Amino acid sequence: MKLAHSSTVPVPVERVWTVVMDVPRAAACVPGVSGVSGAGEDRFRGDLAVQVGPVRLSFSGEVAIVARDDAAHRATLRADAKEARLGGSVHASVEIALARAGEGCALRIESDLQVAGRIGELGQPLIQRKADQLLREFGACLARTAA
Amino acid sequence: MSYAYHEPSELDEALALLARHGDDAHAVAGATAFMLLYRQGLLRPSHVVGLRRVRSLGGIRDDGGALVIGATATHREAERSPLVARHCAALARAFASVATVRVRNQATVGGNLAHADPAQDPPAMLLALDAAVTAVSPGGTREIPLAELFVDVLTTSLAPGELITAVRVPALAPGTRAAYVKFLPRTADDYATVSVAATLRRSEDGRVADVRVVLGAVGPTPIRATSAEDALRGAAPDAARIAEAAALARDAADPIDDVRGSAAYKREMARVWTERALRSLVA
Amino acid sequence: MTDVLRTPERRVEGREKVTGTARYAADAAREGMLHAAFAGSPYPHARVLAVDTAAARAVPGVRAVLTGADVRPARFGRRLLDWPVLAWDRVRFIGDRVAAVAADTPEAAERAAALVDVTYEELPAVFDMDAALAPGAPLIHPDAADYRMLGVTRPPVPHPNAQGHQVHEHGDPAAGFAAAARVFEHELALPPVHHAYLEPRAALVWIDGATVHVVTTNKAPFSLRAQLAAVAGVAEDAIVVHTPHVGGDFGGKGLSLDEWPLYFLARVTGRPVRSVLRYADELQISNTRHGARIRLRTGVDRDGRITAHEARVRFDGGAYAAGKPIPFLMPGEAMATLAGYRVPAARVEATCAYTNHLPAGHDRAPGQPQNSFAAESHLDLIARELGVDPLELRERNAIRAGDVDVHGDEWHASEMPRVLAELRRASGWGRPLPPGHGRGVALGARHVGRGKTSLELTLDERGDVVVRSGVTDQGGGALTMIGRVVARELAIAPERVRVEQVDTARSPVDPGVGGSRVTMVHGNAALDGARKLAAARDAGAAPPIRVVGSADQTAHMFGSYAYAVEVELDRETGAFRVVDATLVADVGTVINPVAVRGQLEGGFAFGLGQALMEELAIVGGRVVTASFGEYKIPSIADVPPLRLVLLTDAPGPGPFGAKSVGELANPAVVGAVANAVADAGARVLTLPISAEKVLAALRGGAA
Ligand SMILES: Cc1cc2nc3c(=O)[nH]c(=O)nc-3n(C[C@H](O)[C@H](O)[C@H](O)COP(=O)(O)OP(=O)(O)OC[C@H]3O[C@@H](n4cnc5c(N)ncnc54)[C@H](O)[C@@H]3O)c2cc1C
Repeated sequence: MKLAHSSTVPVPVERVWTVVMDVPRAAACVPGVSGVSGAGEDRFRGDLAVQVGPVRLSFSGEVAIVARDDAAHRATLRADAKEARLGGSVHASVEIALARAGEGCALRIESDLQVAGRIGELGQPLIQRKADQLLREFGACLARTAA
Repeated sequence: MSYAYHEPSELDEALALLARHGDDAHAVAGATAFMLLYRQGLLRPSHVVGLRRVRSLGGIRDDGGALVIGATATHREAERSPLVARHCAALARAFASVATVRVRNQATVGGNLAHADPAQDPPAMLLALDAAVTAVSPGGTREIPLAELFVDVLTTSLAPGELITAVRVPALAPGTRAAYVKFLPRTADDYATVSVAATLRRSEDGRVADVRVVLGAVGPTPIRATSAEDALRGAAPDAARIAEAAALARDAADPIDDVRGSAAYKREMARVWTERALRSLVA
Repeated sequence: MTDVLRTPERRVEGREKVTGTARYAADAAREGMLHAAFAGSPYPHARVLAVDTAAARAVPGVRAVLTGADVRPARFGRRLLDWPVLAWDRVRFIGDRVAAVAADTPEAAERAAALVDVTYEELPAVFDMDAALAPGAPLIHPDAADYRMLGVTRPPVPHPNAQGHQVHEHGDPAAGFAAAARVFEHELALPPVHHAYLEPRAALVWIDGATVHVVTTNKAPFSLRAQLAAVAGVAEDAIVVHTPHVGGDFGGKGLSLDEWPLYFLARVTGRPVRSVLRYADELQISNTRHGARIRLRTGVDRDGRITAHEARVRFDGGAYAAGKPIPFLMPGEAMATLAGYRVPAARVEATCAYTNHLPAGHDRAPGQPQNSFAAESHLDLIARELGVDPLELRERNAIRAGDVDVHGDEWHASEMPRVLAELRRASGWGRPLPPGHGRGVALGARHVGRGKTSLELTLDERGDVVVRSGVTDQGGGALTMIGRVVARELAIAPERVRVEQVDTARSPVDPGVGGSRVTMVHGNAALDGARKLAAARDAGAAPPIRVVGSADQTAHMFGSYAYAVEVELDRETGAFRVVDATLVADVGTVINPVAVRGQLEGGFAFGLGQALMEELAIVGGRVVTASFGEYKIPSIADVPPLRLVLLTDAPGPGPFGAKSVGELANPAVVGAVANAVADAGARVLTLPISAEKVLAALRGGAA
């Protein structure tokens, strides 16, 4: 499942880039994330609680920065998380790209999401809506944090 | 089944059970939506509180011109109720559009609203009719307009442990006409690919005095197409004006790609079916 | 006494089923029984690096957790044993099993299965059949050379990612194309679909001393016994397979999935172990109808008569070939690209590819709906190009006695011209249609079944008969049919014949249900037995008289049929409805009149689903239509009245001249509907024919 999110943030690119690449800080912008800690170079561990309607999911997993280009403000992240309550996992490859947009910064996040196991049975429409919403909130929060 | 099943006959008892067991408890009415999620393993409550025996939640009545449908009234009761038909035939049709007779005999009006699947039929129509639910919790009773009830896919603004007791449909202004259309291109037994609920009232001079257009199945919640309404209000609803409003409804839709069609197709169908619904109201 | 066959039958199992007392495999239970659950791969293609079962074992109530290491090298399959019971080194589709749990309750088993912690290393996945067969494609089965094949040696394949491959040629295609006035070429595609039987797979396995018992939904118990013997390394007579009622099959219940891990779980726990598959799993891991992409090229003379034909058929076999019983490891009718037509010269090439999709298997007339959709659309396109009425074009090309078909086989008799003449009459072909309507035609031919079986008949003092057969009744009416054949031959009331379905220990070897075989093979065995009883009785033998009735059915013969379908199209939305349909079917002598009608009407609805809505949508290897909320099948409200015309006077090789109907009538529906929609203005070249595709075609886009 491919998801794309873009927004403009009234903050200079470099400031946003610093926040984005500070994974624990950026992760705090995803609603439901907790307990983020380092797990090696460019690797982080953490938990994510998500509620999709009446269904509560709790993920724990890892995020790794697999590629970054500080000059171009582009990075590729990979997230792998397991959901133990119902059984399942999520794997995402996330491309983040920042670009100057006037005084501010254009943020573009493209993710390719794989949902496996029971939780996948929530259905594609539901998962996509939820993931979209998380991304939107993440984008908005980044803007606030960087400002 | 590995949960305890409670079937209180009093509302207070139901509320107390839900409060006592918190996250471990789940309310059910007809259990049609609950059972699917449960069998898929997506819900794992240890206590299930059945509402069907709570007498005060049932029934359909007229309350000084408003229609009050109890939370545990089934869709079948609602669809066949003379009160509902008299109040608004399109509402009866929306209830009758749900799934199959077997599901409608079991599924309840309150359960439908609380489940908040944006592809369901009654929510769009009830929203077009400006309905509100009555909700109770140990803290008291409140009215929630449908526009505020639906928050997201499967998500309402009900607090944990809060229950819907009824949905209240206000009296329609005289001369108001209503329509509900459900687009089912694959099979008669399906959720809508797109649905449209609309109400319209014309003044003496034939212009549109009041109009509401709600789109189902094309967003995280039913979507009120206010731009389409604005285009019609005060205008003569001729074919061109209706086409313009329908085009605005297309832009109001926020669908996703899925097995029922691409987002682009659903947007286009929102236009076609809005146009058809509106035309039927001025015919 | 009136002819038994003239009275509509009463199903022998009907009362049990409608009163809810019928017991299915999921109802089987034994003292001390455990419940199984499975952990499946989240990846379409990955190496299994490590499996940690500690957390799973710690769940209270868990009695055993098995992984690939515990079952290695056990692989199962109906013919090719290529599907690991539990994957040990590599998973090949999302859902491929890596661990099995047995626990006191289903909930504990499921909880534990969710806690099995597997470390994978993802491998490049291949989802497209052509990509899979391209040079240098990632290999899905690097060890294929070591796989065992039951009974035969595996035919060679042109690519390591090919499951099966065949080329047929007859006549002189090059000359035929050279002589053609026009040559047409089209490509069509179909997605995988599911059988959607009511009853999900279920099985109970226990080991009693040296004997392995299996209660199962499998419709071919002897075949399952042979496969289990091969997988478990035990003798066939140490295995007893019990098949209670099978709640729908449509070809899907020939493959067992759970029995293998259940066997290993029963062995390590010493307890009976049962599993009942969730329907979501049925839709995600069980053998589907093959998705296909088919390119047809056909030359015709000035009158539209076929001069030569060339076909390239690709099937998506998914991750394993285990579901296919036929030695060339393709759907049975993989090569029948122009079934029912005279084809003087042809070259047909078919390949079934391994991909990282869920495994495909057999589904009601395997291979035929795919080829029928392609061929019937292709011929319709040709008719339109030539300006010939589509029914007329079919009449000109319909196979007649003495003609050769697409396989190069000569037909000694053909009812096809008569079927088409009857269709023209009964459907009111040519009658003007209201605006927005379209009419389509498609024909089909299906071989009557072949095979060999025996059953046991006993005539008692009162003149009543008991028949014991190993055949399962998956809803087709096998047991009722057997009883009526015996009753008619002995001129007694059907109620006086009792037919018992017995387990594999108490029945002669039986081929099981499949390949449109039962009325031909089991019916003839029943007839043979009845005749022997009558002979013994007339010779003065004293009851009880016991005989064995046998049949070895080899006759090669076809049943023919054709549809005319009318649709009404909404040009603004692309939605359409089938408003009228006629089916003419050449069925020979009718034994079960109600079941014949049921099979034909059901076959029509089955095909309608495939035409209008059915699609096992797979995105990145994951089935996204994993419930009947998303995977839609027709409801009765979607099925228009079907005008049914039976031709019963051309006898078949079955008892009293019967032919088969179980797989006769579903394949051609897709083509008839596609052609009707095309007649109304929108040609759609892929299934299902969704409103969205129709609208795109109406607006001139690609569909
Ligand atoms: C096969 C099938 C097809 C369907 N097709 C359609 C369709 O075409 N159109 C359509 O509109 N819908 C359709 N539905 C959905 C159906 O409308 C809902 O499942 C049903 O209305 C839910 O009602 P229920 O009484 O069964 O709710 P339940 O399953 O009992 O409950 C659903 C949810 O609501 C909560 N709840 C129930 N009652 C209350 C209450 N009084 N107060 C607060 N919370 C409550 C429960 O806790 C639960 O989370 C379909 C459902 C099925 C099973």
